[in-house]
Amino acid sequence: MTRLLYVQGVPIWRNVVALRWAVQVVSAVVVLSTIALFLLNVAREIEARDIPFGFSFLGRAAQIPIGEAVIPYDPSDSYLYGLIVAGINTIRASVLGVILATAIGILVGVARLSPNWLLSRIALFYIEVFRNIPLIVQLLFWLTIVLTLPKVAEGYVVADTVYINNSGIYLPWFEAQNGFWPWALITAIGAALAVYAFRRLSRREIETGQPSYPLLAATVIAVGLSLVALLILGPLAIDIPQIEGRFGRLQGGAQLSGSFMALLVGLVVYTSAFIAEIVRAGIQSVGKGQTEAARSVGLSGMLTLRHVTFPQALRVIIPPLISQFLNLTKNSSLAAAIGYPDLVSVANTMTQIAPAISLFMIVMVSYLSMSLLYSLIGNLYNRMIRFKGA
Amino acid sequence: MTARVAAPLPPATTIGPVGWLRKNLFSSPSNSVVTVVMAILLAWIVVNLGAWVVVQADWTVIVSRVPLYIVGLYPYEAYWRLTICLLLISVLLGMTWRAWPDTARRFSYGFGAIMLFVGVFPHEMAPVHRALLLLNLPAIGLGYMLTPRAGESGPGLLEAIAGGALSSMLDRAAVRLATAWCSVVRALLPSLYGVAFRLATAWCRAVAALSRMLDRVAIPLATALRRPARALAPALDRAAIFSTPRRMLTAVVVALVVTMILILGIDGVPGLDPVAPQDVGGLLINLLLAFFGIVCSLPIGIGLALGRRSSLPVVKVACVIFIEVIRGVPLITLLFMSRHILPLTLPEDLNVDRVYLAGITITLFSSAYMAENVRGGMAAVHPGQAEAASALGLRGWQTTLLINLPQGLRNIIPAIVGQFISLFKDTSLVYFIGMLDLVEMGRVSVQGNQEFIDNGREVYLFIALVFWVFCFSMSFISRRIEGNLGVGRR
Amino acid sequence: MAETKGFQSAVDIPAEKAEILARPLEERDDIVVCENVHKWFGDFCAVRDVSMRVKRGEVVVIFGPSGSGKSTFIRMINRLEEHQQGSIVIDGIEMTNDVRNLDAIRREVGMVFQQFNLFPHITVLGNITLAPQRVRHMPRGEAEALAMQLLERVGIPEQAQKYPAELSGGQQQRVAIARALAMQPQIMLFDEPTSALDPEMIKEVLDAMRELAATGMTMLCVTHEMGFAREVADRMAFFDEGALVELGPPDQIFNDPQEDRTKMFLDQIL
Repeated sequence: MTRLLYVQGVPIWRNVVALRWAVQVVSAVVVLSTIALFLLNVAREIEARDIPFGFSFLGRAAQIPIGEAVIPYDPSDSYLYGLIVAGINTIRASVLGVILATAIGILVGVARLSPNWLLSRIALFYIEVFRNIPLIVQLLFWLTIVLTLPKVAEGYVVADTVYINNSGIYLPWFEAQNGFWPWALITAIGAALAVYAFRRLSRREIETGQPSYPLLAATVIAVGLSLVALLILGPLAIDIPQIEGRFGRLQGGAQLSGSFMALLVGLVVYTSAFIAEIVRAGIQSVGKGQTEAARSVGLSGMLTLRHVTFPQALRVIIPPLISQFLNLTKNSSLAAAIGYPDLVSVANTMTQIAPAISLFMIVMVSYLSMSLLYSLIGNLYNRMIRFKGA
Repeated sequence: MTARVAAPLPPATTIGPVGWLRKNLFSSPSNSVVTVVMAILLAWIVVNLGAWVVVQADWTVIVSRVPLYIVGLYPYEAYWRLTICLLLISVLLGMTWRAWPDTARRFSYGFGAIMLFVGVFPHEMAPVHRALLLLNLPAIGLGYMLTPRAGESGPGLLEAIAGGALSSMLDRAAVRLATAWCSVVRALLPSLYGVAFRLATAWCRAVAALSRMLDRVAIPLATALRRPARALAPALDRAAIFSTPRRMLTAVVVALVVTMILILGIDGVPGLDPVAPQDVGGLLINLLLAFFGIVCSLPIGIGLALGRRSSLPVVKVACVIFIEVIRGVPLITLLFMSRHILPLTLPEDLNVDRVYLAGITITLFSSAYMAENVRGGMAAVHPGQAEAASALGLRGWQTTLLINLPQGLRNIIPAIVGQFISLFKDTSLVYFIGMLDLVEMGRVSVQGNQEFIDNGREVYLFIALVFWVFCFSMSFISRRIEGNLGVGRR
Repeated sequence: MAETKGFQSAVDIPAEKAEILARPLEERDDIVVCENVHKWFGDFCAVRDVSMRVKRGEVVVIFGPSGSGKSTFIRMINRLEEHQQGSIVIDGIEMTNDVRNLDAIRREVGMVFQQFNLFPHITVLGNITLAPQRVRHMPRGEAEALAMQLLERVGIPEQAQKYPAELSGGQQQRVAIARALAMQPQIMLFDEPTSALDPEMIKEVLDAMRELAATGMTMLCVTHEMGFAREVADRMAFFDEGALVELGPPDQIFNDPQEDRTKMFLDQIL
């Protein structure tokens, strides 16, 4: 009998391969059964305590108001549609936040490296102050600042077109007219032409050594074509906000609500402090020898920055930068605390009548897919920049 | 042989304060413009903010309800327990003084200043509590004395203070001032340099005379003190009971356990009536949650990281899914889920307080990030290390635990502290499951009181300052440790 | 006086250069003129009162103990360090704060560093063609042809498409020499070019430098390779504590140093 337990003269409990398999199987059983136990437990409790669960509610009318919506929304619309509206609000805050935070973060990070002592200290102060205060406190603070602005009737008015008051900022905005789509098409074609011209001229500059001004030419083509079409077709009217009615409500134009402004400022200031540190570290990671070498072969300051410092710093900067973008997107969920109707905020309101667990599962899956998108971009970039040898 | 001439002096405009200004603020026209613009902007902000803080702001909303922000609804009768906890922390701080003199000194000054300020500042506070707060200052000294005096011949602190330290400091400051003055004059008015030099010499001489006078008092005093100090030394040596790292660690652990017992109380012990978890609020709950999270998330994070590196596919996949899901969603959605799902996994009659739910969630959240840090640190360890360990006959798990892990952790000390900081900041989100932490207390103070409805700015600035002090201190310590260990300089 | 040094070179020397190089050293014009140059780092005097004239086509080897200011001195010749007193004139262009002068000087002067400082993110070819294309606006084909020619000269044409990190130290340093030559400088500075190299790679770099000297390039080399100095240098300069202690032909420096400090230092290293 014991013969069976021997493989090539070695007992099976001393055989490396067999042992490895045994460990694999045991670990699999332990992990899977723990997870199964957990899930079964939850499922049983949901049933036993009669906790609402399921996704059939999504088609029903949500009947909750959403304060701000980019696409038209009405409380009689379905839950699903309400969640989409809220998701667009999240994306709106995130995209604007990412753009502004990157711009300010780069400025502050570069200022941190300035030879000017005062500027560099101010940048350091900015970084150390804003990244060491919880975002939620900053949001609440900015909200109080917005709320201390005067009421609509007594608000600030700039040039009769921009209204600033405690309900937000109202800006003149464009309104599409008849010729909008043809104009948009022409603008798109112009942009494509500009890209083509840019590439063509850049290559020419490299090939022949003649200065060909690709950036200038591309800008002229894109802007010029769009402007000419604008003048001929007249596709856009400008919608100026105005105070209407007895109650002095502001109508028209583009509205940036107070809570949106507070959220945006908070997210941008907080994230830009982190981005500034990333940018500083990235630029510093390019050794002094590189700049010296560039200078000694005669490259000017700008050319050194463009061809030597930046391409190398970017490799160090981009991966953590993308993770900051993800952080900003996740942090935009704190909007729930200051009344901006983002995904979490709206879902939270919906839990009053709809099953909470299902709702938040949807919310988590939405955030997960956004994270996935970011890491996809990050991985693509990493693959693109990988250079040999280093 | 050529005579070695003394090194020529650099041009006056390149050294001293003038040189510093030229180099750092006015090195080029554009730089000068930046300096001027920034200086004006800075002055404008400082003046306006200062005026607001001193004149316009109404700080009653803070001053009248300090305990609410710090400890929430913690019962007044039990405040003394918290002040004792503070005293224990002071002793621990004093114990670190000899190990990290620089860092501990700064922290002690800061901590002492806060205690002094709160203890003396006119606001509602019982004299007993004031006295207990002020006791923290001697408590730091006590901690200092409890650690061994590595080879010092007497109590070094006393001698340093009495033995002419002050006068030599004076001398040094005077010389530095005189040098600066000379270099300014040399740069701006070279013709007056001789006069300036003579003036500076006279000034130095005067200060030296003054410090000699001080010495005449200080040196006898030091001598007089030295005798009792010598007599005291053996007693102090005996008092230094925390003489080994192991004893120190024991002291830390005991102090922490005592702290927890004091804060939460024990049922049935007179004077230690248990405090309901929901009554622990304000800054105290932020600190407790952060502490709990910090202590637990590191080991869990290490476990997850090891799981992710493991060769067992199921373990690996489970860890990857856990880490990536947690890192992919905002904390407040997790808090929300924990409020609804965690209780379901527990027996129905066990009523778990929100505090524990929040603690568990924050810990798990943080450990997922910690796991990624640990993994990064371990990946940075040179593969040769593991090969060397295998060659020495260490088993796989021994290699991981004894070679890879310690080196990996050392690589990521800054990242770990960074994670602790963000964990502490994240404790401000527990309002979402209805806990009364510092931020929520502030919000309630503003929005729940008609009286203070316009004082939001004061409240949030105060809260921001409190959080900032803690987070900045942590990052300061991290930089110190990094410097001491020479991370990245090996 | 490449011919007199006794090794044959296959490289063509341009006619106008050949004409100058045909003259004896004393009759050529000065291409580098330094008068009473000083440099401080804070209070520390790194270079004190150095005056030196270098003839066109001359090879000067600078040596001395570490911290003696020799690197700082040659870094001042292309303004990587700013001199604070005295004057430096390169090929008739005075080094001032005038940006146009600085650009002109940087184009006149090539430099090779101890740590190579190649750009790691572009290929060897890209490293060499970057400056000619961007600064001199040379067409790509021409720039690449020039680069290949230079790589041929330093002996590694087959490495053109690789990235710097894939090359050995000696190869990297030869690419660095080619990169500096691509801007067709009048003067080449070498800041301890062989100090970071393994022994077996030193020779290949020194060979490249020898060959360069043979073409009549004006060279200032900070190096401790005394064999190279004896063979190639027209003059040698000994620096100590920031000062130029002794300047003279290799024969004099090695066999009959005028200063005790020079003698002591040479005794230590030889």
